[in-house]
Amino acid sequence: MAALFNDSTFSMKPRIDSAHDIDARRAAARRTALVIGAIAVLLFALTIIEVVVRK
Amino acid sequence: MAAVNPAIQPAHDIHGEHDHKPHGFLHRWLFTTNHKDIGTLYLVFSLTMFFIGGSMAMIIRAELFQPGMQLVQPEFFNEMTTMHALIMIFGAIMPAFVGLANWLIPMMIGAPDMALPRMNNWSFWILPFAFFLLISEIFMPGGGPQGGWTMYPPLALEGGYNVAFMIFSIHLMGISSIMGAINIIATILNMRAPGVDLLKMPVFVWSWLITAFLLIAVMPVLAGAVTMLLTDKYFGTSFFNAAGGGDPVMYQHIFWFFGHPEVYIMILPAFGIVSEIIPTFARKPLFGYQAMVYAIASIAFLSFIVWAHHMFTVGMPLGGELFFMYATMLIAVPTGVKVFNWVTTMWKGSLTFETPMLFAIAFVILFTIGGFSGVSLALVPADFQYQDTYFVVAHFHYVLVTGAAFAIMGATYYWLPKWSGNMYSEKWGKIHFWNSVIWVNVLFFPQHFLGLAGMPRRIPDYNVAFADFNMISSIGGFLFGASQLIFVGVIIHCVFFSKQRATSRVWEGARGLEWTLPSPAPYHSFTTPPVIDANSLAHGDVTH
Repeated sequence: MAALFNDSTFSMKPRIDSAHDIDARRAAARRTALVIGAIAVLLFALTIIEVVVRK
Repeated sequence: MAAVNPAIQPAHDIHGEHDHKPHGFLHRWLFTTNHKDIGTLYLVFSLTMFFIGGSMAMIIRAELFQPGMQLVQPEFFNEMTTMHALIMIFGAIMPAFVGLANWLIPMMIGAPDMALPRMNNWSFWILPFAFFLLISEIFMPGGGPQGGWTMYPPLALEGGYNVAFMIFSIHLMGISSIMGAINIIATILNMRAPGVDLLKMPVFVWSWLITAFLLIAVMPVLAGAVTMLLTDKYFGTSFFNAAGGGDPVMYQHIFWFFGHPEVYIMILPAFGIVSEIIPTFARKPLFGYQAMVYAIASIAFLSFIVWAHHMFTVGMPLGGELFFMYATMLIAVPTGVKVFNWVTTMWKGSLTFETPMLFAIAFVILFTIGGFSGVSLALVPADFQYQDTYFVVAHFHYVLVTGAAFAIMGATYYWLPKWSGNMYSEKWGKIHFWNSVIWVNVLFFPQHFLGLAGMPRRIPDYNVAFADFNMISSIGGFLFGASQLIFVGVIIHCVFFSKQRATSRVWEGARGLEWTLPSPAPYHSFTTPPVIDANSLAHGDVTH
């Protein structure tokens, strides 16, 4: 997870303090997006699995 | 970095050194990756859907003007109730908030754009196709869906072609919402300017961060539910078909596991908007900033454990009824914190009553009325009486029209000068407000009485005992609908014809990074992150 999330993702401070490092910020944003997208797909699958298991 | 991907270049590099907009209509609007353009697209789309969904409401109120069948067939009436809800929820309210998020979040946190601009473009351009599919069903053999926006099986599966189209359009809306939510989370977590700590962000940004997590948690659940409906209809499965061992009540549980947080998806950004407007016109900092943030988070958490209050009457164990009743009533606590904090922010403030403030105050009062009727509905024994009556219709319209829609209108008046560079007509803004606030109450308040007297919802004809209140409600509906034409007029006048230029701060008491930009906001803003000082932040402890 450390590779996916910068250590400061959930810190109160902005994660990139270097004012001009926009590329690094966008790269970190893409990693965040990838993880959240994967969670969304997982929830979709879990919804169907839940109904199948209870049936 | 060794190689620079064009997708992650700063906006000023993509469009050259100068702050120029792309040339050509298609290039500007179809291929745009600019957060302001995409915000505008969302807002225009939302306004269009607001009028399409509103026209359907007019048909519903016209049919209910008198008892008896006069204007439309019952099947068409059912199509109107179903489509009105789907269009207003997914086409009007949600895209309006996403549009506001697109316009405002990057400016409020000092970012040059959304984190994922190309996905942002895609998130929007999926929507028109989704709603083309949905609305086209009206013209298909058999007409559009008639089973209500909740799509309960087996009723919803009785439709013809419309079932597949409706489900596909909901999938597209869901994909759009999820991509939008991912973008908002990624932007807020990664793109804040140095100095904009989480607990210094505007409440609007906080409300959207939490809303985006709600969207990620529940939209896939809706997608899963409608996918199972699709396979039940066309592929012979029986997830929700009792004849095949399935359980239709299970669908209701899954739907409302999505549906109740969905209610908060439509109201939390409104809380954020009102938390920005009231301090500006009270000329005081927001009272209890951190409490407001934690209250939003608490409401979001509680929204996941109250879903079954929508289905008390299907039958569930007493323990379940008690749990969902008490959990629902618990939501009144953080909501009360917010209402008291808004009132306390106004207390002893130097109040002025420009149009955004009028909408914000109306929001606080009328949303609270909607909240009170919600607490009534949370009581299990009372809910058995109110279930599926006009009391429920009155309740959720107070929350969603005088709550969400009023907040969107207030936000439009508040930030329109920043977007367009021109001031709107305060006189016509106030005429719009007073017409809206009077007629919306004439429209929805009598529906409480109709519901308490036992009038069921989703019916085209009714007992003559309900005639008077229905006539009053319909008159209110027509006039509220007509009042919204003033809104469109004010916007068009402001954007294209107003001669009164807006200053950068626009409002005397406005605080926040977006007000440090000129009006209209430049096409590319904060390409160099701003230097934060105490005066430029709206909220939070800025002394360290």
